[in-house]
This record gives sequence, C-alpha cells and structure tokens, in this order.
Amino acid sequence: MKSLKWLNVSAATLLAVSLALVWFAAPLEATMGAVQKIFYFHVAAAWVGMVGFFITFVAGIVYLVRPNPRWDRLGAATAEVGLLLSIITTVTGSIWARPAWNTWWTWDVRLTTYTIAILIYIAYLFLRGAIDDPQRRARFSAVYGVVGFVSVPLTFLSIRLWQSIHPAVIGTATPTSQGGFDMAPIMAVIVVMAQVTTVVLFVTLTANRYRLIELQDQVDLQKARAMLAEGDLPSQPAASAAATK
Amino acid sequence: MPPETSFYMVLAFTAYLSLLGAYVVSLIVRRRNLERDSATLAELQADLDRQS
Repeated sequence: MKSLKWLNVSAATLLAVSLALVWFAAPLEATMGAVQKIFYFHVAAAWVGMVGFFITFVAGIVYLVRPNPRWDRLGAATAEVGLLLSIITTVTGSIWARPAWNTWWTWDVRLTTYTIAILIYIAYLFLRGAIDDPQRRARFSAVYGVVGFVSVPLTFLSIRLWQSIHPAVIGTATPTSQGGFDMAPIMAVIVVMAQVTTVVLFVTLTANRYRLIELQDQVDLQKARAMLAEGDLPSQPAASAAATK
Repeated sequence: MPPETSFYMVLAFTAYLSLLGAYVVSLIVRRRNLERDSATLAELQADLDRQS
C-alpha cells in the first residue's frame, strides 16, 4: 500500500514536470506551430498503450499454461490502462489532424486499424463484465486477450504495408510514407521525459487497477461466504468463486 | 513564422488531462464502493457468526 502511494506521488510529479517542460521549455515547431507539442504525449501514449496490450497477450498465454488469478488480474489491468492510453492517442491525434490535415478524422489505414484495436479491447472489457464465474471469465479473457492481440501488430505495420497519410517515423519502407526526424537537443530531452512519464503513469495506473481487481475478488469471496453461512443455496458463480479461493 | 495553432494545443492537452483525470476518478470511486461493500459484508459475516 505504501509503495502504491509513492508510485502515485511519483507519477503525478513526473507528469507535472513533463507538462511544464512541454509547455514552457519546448521550442515551437516550424511547420505545425504549438499543436505539435501534443506529439510528446501522443506518441508515448500510443506505444505504451500497445505495450499494455502486449502484456495482456503474454498474461493470457501464461494464464492458459498455469492458471493463476494473478495473471488474469494483470491481463485485465493492462488491457484497461492500454485502452485508456489508446483512446488518448486517438483523441489527441484527431485534434492534431484538424490543423495539419484539415480534417478531424479520415478513414486512413492507420486510423482504421487503430479504431478496430480499440473496439476489440472495449469488447474485452464487456466480455469480462458479462461472465460471473471467475474461472470461466479468466479463461475466456485469456483466450480473447491472445487472439485480440492480432490487431496490435496489424496497427503497427499498417502504415508500413499500405499507403497512409499517417507519419511513419521508424522503419519506413514505402516511399509514400513520411519518415525521419531532426530535432533540437532540448526537444529530444523532452521526448525522452514524456516517454518515461508515460511509462511510469502506465505502471501506476496498472498497479492501482490490479489492486482494485484484487479487492473485487475479495468482496466476491465475502459475498459467497455470507451466502453459504446464511444457508442460502449459492448460485453457480458464487459457489465457484468460493471454490477457487 | 510558425502557424497559429495554440487553440488546438490547448484543446489536445485539455482532452489528455480530462481523460486521464476521469479514469483516476473512476478508480477512486470504484475503490471506495468496494471498500464500503467489503465493510458491510464483514459486518454481516460477524452477525451471522454471532447467531451461529
């Protein structure tokens, strides 16, 4: 609990420092102006969100091999935080696109595949909410987390495989994609700072969400025990919850 | 001279902080509800234990 509090304070402090650096220290980019500053967090949120989905994928595989509720909790927590970061990426990207592309949204291949990935992980959360039996929920979520991950490399590779107006900075193979970057040293420092901040934010939010799922499991167990003690015939999920603890 | 796009920068950071803030608030609310449920169930369990 104490370490979680320290993590929360560290994340909030890092976020405040990074925001101050972006607003007051980062120079204005020559072609896009002030709106380019959102890129420091847009890019970081995009890749850290995808890392979150990758952890859900790995946790799913590990759970299927060795069914331990810890892996289920980790998969659920990283999927939710990954989804939050992906939504942040989409919203900030859309706002950037208005002055840069003269439109809030276009069905470009990157934007489309990213939207599909977001919908897949929203469905993951709905799936978890729809199943009461903890063991079934964990098993189904693990399988879904593994299968749903297909959307992530597809999103990453989309601008490298097909024509897109979305900038591709790393590993550009197609002549139609834009690529490469040249930035002032202070910009590079702030880029790194924003990346570190986003990673710490991800770890902090995941740790908090993990703790919340643990608490939810504890409450489910208390409910099952109360029902058993009352002599009330427990329903299938409650009985199963009691059996798994 | 770079183009004037400050409005979009402010809008983007407002969206970023709002989404992040909303998620943090949802975590706090969910935690508070679960702690309340846990305390109520603990009381119920204690009552049942006393009765038996």
